Amino acid sequence: MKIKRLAWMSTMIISSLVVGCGQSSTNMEERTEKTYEVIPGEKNLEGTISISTYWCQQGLQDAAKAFEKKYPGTHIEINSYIKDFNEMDEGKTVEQYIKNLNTAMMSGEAEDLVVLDDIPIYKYIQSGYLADLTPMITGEDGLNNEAYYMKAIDTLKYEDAYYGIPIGFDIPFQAINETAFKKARLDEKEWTKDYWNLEEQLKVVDKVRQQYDKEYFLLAGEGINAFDYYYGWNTEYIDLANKKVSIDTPEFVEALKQIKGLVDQGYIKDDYEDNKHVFDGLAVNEAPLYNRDFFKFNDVEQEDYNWCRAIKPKATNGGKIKINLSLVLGITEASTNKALCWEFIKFMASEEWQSQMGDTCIPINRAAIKPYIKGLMDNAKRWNTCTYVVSEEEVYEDYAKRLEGWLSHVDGYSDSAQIDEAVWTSWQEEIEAYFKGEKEAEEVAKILQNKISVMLNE
Amino acid sequence: MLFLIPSLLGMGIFYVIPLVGTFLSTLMSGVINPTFVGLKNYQELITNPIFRLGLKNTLIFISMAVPIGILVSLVIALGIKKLSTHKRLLQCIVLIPLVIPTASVAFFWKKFFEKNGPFTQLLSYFVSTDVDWLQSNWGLFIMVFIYVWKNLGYNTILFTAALYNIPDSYYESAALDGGSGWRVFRYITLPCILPTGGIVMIMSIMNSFKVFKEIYLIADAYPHESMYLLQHYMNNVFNKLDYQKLTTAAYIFLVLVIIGKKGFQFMVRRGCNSEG
Repeated sequence: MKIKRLAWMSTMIISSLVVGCGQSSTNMEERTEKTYEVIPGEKNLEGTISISTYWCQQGLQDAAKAFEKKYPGTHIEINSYIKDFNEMDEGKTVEQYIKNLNTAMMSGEAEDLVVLDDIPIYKYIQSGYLADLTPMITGEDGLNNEAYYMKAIDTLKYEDAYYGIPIGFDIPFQAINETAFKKARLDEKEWTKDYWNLEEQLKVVDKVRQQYDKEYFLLAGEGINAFDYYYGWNTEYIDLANKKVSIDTPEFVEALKQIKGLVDQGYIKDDYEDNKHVFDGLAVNEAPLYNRDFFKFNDVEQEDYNWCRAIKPKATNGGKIKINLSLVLGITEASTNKALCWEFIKFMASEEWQSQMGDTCIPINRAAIKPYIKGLMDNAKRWNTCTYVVSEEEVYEDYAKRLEGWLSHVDGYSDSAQIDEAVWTSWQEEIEAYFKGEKEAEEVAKILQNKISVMLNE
Repeated sequence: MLFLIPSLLGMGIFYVIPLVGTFLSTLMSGVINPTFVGLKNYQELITNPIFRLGLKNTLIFISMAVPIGILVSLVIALGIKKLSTHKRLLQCIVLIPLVIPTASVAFFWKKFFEKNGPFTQLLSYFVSTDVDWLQSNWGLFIMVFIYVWKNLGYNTILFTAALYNIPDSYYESAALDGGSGWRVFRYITLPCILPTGGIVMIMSIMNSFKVFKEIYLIADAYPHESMYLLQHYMNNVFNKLDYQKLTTAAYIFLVLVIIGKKGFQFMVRRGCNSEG
């Protein structure tokens, strides 16, 4: 549960930054004062819609107010389960929110829109509680790949139909330790793949250990944390949407043994203290530092304490990238105002809104990429971390091109909310038992295969 | 007739209407914008391998646990009747499992049967083994054991009462005629306790469904496949919001229980008539 709780917190923080949209997350004064510019709407929209969300995101509220300003005949009510992170410790957990939402869904009394970030989407799709958005998306007034990053939206497809739209996404990046890079005389041209998976990272670590310091390691936690970091339930083994389980396989057993071996040999650790981890993850808004030739650090002395060499997306061992989605909106089947709900979703995905969203996630609207890159570069200047030595246009073009390349490897999204509680608990218990030496890998594979198959196929 | 109205009203509101409403929902496609689908839900459920696993395990469990429970409690009741001292003490001892809270029972047996737990250690005096009993096919037998252990007292008391109701004159007459042992039991004791035996059997079957509580606490919502009962299936689909599967499974369950009950009642009645 600790890991899942951490994942929730991270999702909350990232979501609040994403839809804290337009403002620096460190500057509360600016956030409350910023106003959003909207062009008065041409359509004559009227009506009230309600949104159910676990966490009251500032950006969602701002978008609702902007929409009401654009279409004065509309009203949007946001019903958030918690108003403050502290309420999570007071019993208002996401599990309780899901129970309340379940009851509302089953009685047909749920809100018109639901923020799907925190809930197991497939359960609601399979139970018929979410509206099929495919006619709206593929219709005349819909979304297309020319204007939107449909690859990111397609990660939410279920049986060729859409049930949710993300407003933004981010790609988990990893980069190499500057000191290790220089001292081990690494050369970026040696690695031809445009992502980092375990196999590629092990090559780098081996080189650093041989040529510089054998104490260097991969930072990935221990035991189940290490296994989930590189393999995880939602990569190769459990297909929640299609209810397929492939755990009782030689590949899974080998993966378990491999990670255990790497942990035992000291290749994988959970230790930040000496900065001897070769790779580190990057926050979303650090991503444009991916091209080392584009900038120089302002504080040269601090340079060696950074991770910004060979910034590439983190991928599964099979080379697939799992993106993180932000503010996924779905319309409930019971909603009597689906048309207005769709207009709100389109507004949130529009260039008009997304251009003002800021720098904390990649916007789903292609036209908003430039303001996104500009925001990131402005932040770098404001925080005085680095100075760009190329033009903004050059950064934008290079980033846009690389983004297309990264998206071509995308195969789904990584979201802790999709972890069915029962599946996650079983996964965690059995794999932890293996890493503690209480069970054999083959035994764990068999137990998980049987258990999770039952869970998915009931 | 007017005096019946309150009862009929209560029955109607709390039993009949929900029963009929639930049955109608089993013929619909869903809760939101439902459409009539006939017996499609029943067909899907009957062909669902997980439902069939739960049903199979439930029937196997009942067919093992109930006869064993009845037999063991009857033997103990006969033993208590034969004792000349400490009868009440033994009756109290057999009733203890019945009064222990379910959570305590579950906790105890979970610890007892866990891998390298006390059971494995006891067994190690005779044979070396490294089995995780609750994650193996032995799970079914553990369920049977827990059920028999928990319900022993209840059945024993019923049988003891039935045995004490047999007039002593029957045994005296049998003794005079040279009857003893098995023949006395077969021709005197057994026919006289048969009606009670019928009740014990029906109560045992009803109680066999309640063992889900202990199994759920011991092995959670998804135990080893040998311990996966129909109640697990229903509990889990409820948590998954699958209202149609839940109501359909409940109806199939209801039909099976009614058939089983009628069958046993028929057998008991037939047995009493033939003996009479």
